[in-house]
Amino acid sequence: MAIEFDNVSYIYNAQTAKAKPILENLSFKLKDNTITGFIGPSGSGKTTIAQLIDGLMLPTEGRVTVGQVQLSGQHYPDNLNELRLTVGFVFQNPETQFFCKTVQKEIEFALKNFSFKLSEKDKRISDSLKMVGLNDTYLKRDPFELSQGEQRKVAIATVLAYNPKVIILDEPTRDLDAPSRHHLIKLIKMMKLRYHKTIIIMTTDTDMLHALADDIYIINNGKIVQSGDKYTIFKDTATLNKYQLRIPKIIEFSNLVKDKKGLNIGYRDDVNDLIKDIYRHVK
Amino acid sequence: MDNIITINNLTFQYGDLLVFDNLNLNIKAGTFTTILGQNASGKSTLAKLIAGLVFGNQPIHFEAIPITEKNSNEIHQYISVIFENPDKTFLAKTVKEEIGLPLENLKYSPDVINERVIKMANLLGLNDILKQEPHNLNHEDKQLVSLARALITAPKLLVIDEGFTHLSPKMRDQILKILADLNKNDHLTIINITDDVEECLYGNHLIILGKHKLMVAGTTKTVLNHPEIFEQAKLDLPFIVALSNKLKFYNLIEETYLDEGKLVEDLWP
Repeated sequence: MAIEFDNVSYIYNAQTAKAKPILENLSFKLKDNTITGFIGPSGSGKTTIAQLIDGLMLPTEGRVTVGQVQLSGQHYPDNLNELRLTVGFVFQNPETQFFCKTVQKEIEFALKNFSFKLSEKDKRISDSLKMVGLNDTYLKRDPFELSQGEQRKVAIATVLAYNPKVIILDEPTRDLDAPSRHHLIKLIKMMKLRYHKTIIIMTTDTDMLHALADDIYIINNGKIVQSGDKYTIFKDTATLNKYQLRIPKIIEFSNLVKDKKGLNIGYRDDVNDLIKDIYRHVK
Repeated sequence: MDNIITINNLTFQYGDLLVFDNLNLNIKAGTFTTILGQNASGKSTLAKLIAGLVFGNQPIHFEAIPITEKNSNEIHQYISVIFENPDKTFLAKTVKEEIGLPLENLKYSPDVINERVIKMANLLGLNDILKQEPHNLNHEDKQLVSLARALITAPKLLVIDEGFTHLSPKMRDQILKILADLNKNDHLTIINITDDVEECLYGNHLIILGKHKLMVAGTTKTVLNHPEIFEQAKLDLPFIVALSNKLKFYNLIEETYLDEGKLVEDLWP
């Protein structure tokens, strides 16, 4: 299922005196069942890209394609509902959007929008909680009394409930403590490997992306300045420094070993694999 | 070493929200202390308490003198504070004037002010922007100007409250190194309150705040040798420490390293 941007531009308040260009001539094609990270400073246009993929707005110029749905021109297509079912969008700090008294009602609300049959509803809710690692005891709990990590999971469950093929996450690790962050990384990996989702992450957390992304796009001032597979992008120290992006710690360490000792070790996703490589090269 | 800041049994709340419950915390003069904490552990409130912007049920002591609303202004001549967003604090028309402002307020002569501002501009690389308007600068330069202004009075204590959040990694590293030098050579006491555990490697002392209270305080090296405290505080260990611990487990090294360069040298001598 293709997600494609074809010369997409987005101008906020287009054709008015307050027109502000946000995205400029963006073209890319995302691969199915992969995790793609969009990184770049705040205000670079990442959230706008997410909103376009989710069909929340039409591009000012160019065409956005999500599966069978094409967004361009002045009018929304007739099959827009297909896109709403295909794409799930988890906003920044999504727990700020809770308003129901129980977790069950919160997830139900998401399903109501898609008029799922009553009989299926309960199973879907239970399944979506299971997918994020929460059991049925959470159904009757007050979302506002949950820990931050649990709240974040419930927010993701509300999106998983209607089983979209594509999940977009906007700054999913923001404000999370260390254990919650690690659980979230595991969950995202599982969504790709076990549930075969296509995942798009907008973030500045390069360490998180290093742990799980396949491809990276660097966005600056509404343009793609660099794109490629994760290793190529994260090894490019000069470009990361130019756009003030943090180099993942594992990469930094591997670079240091290469510079000082001429050894090519590491460049792994995960500290445990890095240790194994070090072990092999030392013993 | 004497304490430059002493906090004894301090309780502080915002309305119904309890922030500190009988907090006990000391900062020794001449140390560079990083303060880490869980989310909502009250780190920013602590900065405001030391800056004299808010007051708890007990006065905080600065060099054994209790800070009260009456003497706060006088004592704060010796304490400089930098916050996350310096924009609203800029008052002057040019960077040069802004940096010199605290000395102007203290009635220093224009010659002395000029000399000190130039020295500070050289230290922080601000020579190119001295004539610009502070509000028009990019965020990094704004924070550098804020730092220059904070250091111009040669304070005894510098407090930084999440001051590096929006800076590039390179700039953050440069500033922290300059501060570490000032701590070592000029004995400037520094308190760096931050969300980023990696920053604790630049300081020589470390405090972790827990829920409403202090969780641990000690030299950076000592605290980092207790990973269980980080786990309890729901914080990640700095990368080099986590890596060291795993390498120790496999008997590849014998101690915890705080310096990546040294670790690499010792692994492949």
